[in-house]
Amino acid sequence: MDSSEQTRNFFLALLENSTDLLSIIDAQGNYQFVGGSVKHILGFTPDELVGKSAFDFIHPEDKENARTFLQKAASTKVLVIPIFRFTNKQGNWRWVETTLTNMVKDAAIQGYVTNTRDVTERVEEEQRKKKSQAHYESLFYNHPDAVFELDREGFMRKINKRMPSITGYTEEEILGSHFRKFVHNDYLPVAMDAFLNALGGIAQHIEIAVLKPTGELVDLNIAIVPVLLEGHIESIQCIANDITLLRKYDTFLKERSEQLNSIMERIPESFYALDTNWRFTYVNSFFTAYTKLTREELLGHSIWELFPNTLGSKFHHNCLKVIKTGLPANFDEQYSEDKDATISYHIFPTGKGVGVHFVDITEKKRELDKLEKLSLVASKTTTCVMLMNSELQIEWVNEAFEKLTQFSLEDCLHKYPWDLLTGPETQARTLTKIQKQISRGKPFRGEILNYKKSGEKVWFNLEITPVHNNLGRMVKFIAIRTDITEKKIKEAELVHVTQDLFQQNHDLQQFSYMVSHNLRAPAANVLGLTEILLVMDKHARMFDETLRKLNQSVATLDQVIRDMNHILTIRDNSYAQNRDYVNITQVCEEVLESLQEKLYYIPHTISADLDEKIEVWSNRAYMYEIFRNLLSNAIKFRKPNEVLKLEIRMKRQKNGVTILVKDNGIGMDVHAVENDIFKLYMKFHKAYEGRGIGLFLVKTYVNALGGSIKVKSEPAIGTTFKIKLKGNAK
Amino acid sequence: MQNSVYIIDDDEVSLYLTSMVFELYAPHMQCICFDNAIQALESLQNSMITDTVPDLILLDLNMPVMSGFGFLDAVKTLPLEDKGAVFVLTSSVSEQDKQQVYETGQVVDLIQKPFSMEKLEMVLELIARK
Repeated sequence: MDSSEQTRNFFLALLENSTDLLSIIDAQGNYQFVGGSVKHILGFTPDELVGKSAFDFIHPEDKENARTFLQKAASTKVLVIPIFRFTNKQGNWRWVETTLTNMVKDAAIQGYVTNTRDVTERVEEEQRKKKSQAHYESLFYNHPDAVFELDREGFMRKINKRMPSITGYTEEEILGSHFRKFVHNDYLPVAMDAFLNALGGIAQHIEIAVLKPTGELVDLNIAIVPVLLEGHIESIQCIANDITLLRKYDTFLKERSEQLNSIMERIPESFYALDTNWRFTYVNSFFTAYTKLTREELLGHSIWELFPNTLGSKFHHNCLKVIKTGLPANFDEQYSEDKDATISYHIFPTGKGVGVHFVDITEKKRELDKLEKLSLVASKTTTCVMLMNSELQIEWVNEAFEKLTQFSLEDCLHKYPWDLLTGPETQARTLTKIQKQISRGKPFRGEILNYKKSGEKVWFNLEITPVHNNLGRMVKFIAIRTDITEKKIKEAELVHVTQDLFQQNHDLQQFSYMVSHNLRAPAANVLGLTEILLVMDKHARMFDETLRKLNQSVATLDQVIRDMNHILTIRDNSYAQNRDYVNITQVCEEVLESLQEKLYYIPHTISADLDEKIEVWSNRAYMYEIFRNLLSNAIKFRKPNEVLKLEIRMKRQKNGVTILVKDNGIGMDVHAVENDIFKLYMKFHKAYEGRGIGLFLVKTYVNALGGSIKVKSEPAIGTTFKIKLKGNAK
Repeated sequence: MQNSVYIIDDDEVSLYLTSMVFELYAPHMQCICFDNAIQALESLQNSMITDTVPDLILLDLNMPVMSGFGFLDAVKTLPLEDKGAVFVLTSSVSEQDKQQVYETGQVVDLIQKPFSMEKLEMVLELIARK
């Protein structure tokens, strides 16, 4: 081998093993020569390329660019064509970088020397880097939360668009400022701590508050991440999330939960929650007190294990039902083993189990049962029973009450008993006493006059008993009424009869006294006179006189006996009962007529104000006697030298009639004779005839007719009699 | 001086009878009769001035306007001293009246009508003993 052959082989070997592809192209880009390294760089053999246009292998997108470079290469010595894509034998695109060297003038080459290197790996690496950077930028700038980067000193180096809107500061105000400027004082220690940690390479979350320029606080949750570059912390990146609303909501929830808890703890009723495994997840303090177990003994333990007695109970059954159906359940359950306890349950689904609320209503139930039994008895009894609340409003009355008073239960409900039952004759004293007793919480017992709905009176024996609760407060009143109307009527009758008897007895005593005195007086005279006559000389001057006195005495005696008979006749009620409607005016006129004879010689005037229509249920004969006695007296006791003035008036009253008989006679000193004026044989005017029986008779007649008589009189002025007669007047 | 007697009674016959008893059995005593207590009271008051107070007063109880009790009440304050000894002369046989009379303490005794010789003697004896 000659030296030139040797040199040629040396170069060929060099070209074949080079990592660069060496080729020569002409001005049109056609391969003139291709180095052997093309085989391991692109998979082609040099023969496959020589004579072909290099542009046929270049990526269509890069072709144009490559041509431009080739044209430029004509006027320069060396030119580097930046990366472009070139196909390999397998048809894959490879990134290559080519240096063009203009050797057109060189006679040995007469073209462009290309030095092409496969840079695919480098390009792809760069592209990967580029993509990663874009990704990062995008993550930074377009993050929905505020993102910012601090340098190692804590100054804001970079911020995204959310920062100004969240913090309220402008971009200019933020960039270059230290983070301390924005953090609320209370949170500075936390923020500083986190910053130092980040410098130490530790990423973390913090929650701080930022003070806006407006003074408002913004709660932020910040993720703090140190940015490592080649094992060195280059900066700190933070992502801030506005949690103001969240925190508010949290606080609200927390408060609500505390409130709820506080309520649960305070209600004097048991409440607890069970999970789906029937374990206690919540118990309130009332329940712990009720079970006499501590919270720790209950929580996390199964209810069926702690209270095996409840297995198979109505409660157990209902718990299962609530879980299965998801519907709440309300029911009462009685536990006979525990003093007949009654529990009222309310079980409801909670989503994670059940909530149980229950109240021990044993007492209430017992009370209710008692009340039920009582009201059953009360409703059937003939005694009137009334229940009142603490305000004394009627809550209930029994059938007997309704029947007797004619007030229905509806009439009575929420009314005050006194508004319904009292009337004009109900004794105020009784009501006051009831009020007094009740206000002291003491029972009342007594008689009361009530009125039925119809207005009819009814007498009750009334017993009001206050009912106290456990705390000693009055909660109810029970009023029990027994009808004693009949007894009351009998009592009244009895009182009346007693009064009558008393009066009669009194009258009788009076009468017997009178009789004894008035009979005895003439009898004593007769006795005395006869004694004298016996010893007296029959011819003595006084004998005849004494005899005449004896005769007079005997006549008096006779008269007294007649009078007694007369009086007894008047007093005989059966005679007084003989009644009719009596026209009083007519009777009065008849009496005046009978007195005409006497009046004829006496100067007189009669002023009579009589109502001709008045008729009174009375006894005509008695009325006649009353008028005759009064008018006779008026005539008898007239003033001797004056015109007799008689006045007779009559007035219809509510329940009868009043009669007035007035004269201008000699009169009497009423104060002196007050007690005696209507007494038998009382004479006040010695000079006048009469036995002193007239007014006694008038009174007897008036009394027999159930009336009363009064007298007014003054000496030398006259006398007025006023008679009130009871009886139906028409 | 002559002994005098007041007889106070609204019963005319009784007055006559009593005065007749004095006339028959004690004619030395002068009877002054009153048919009502008021007149008798006035007379008694006058008698104290004229020093003619009666030795004896016979008083009826049952009289209108002023009864025997009314009279006793009125003379309660008069200084009758040992004169004017009052005897009640009544037709009443009532124990109650008797009781009431003695309760006044102003009366020597109560005599039931009719007045008679025996009763007169008793009265005179009682006065003499005083």
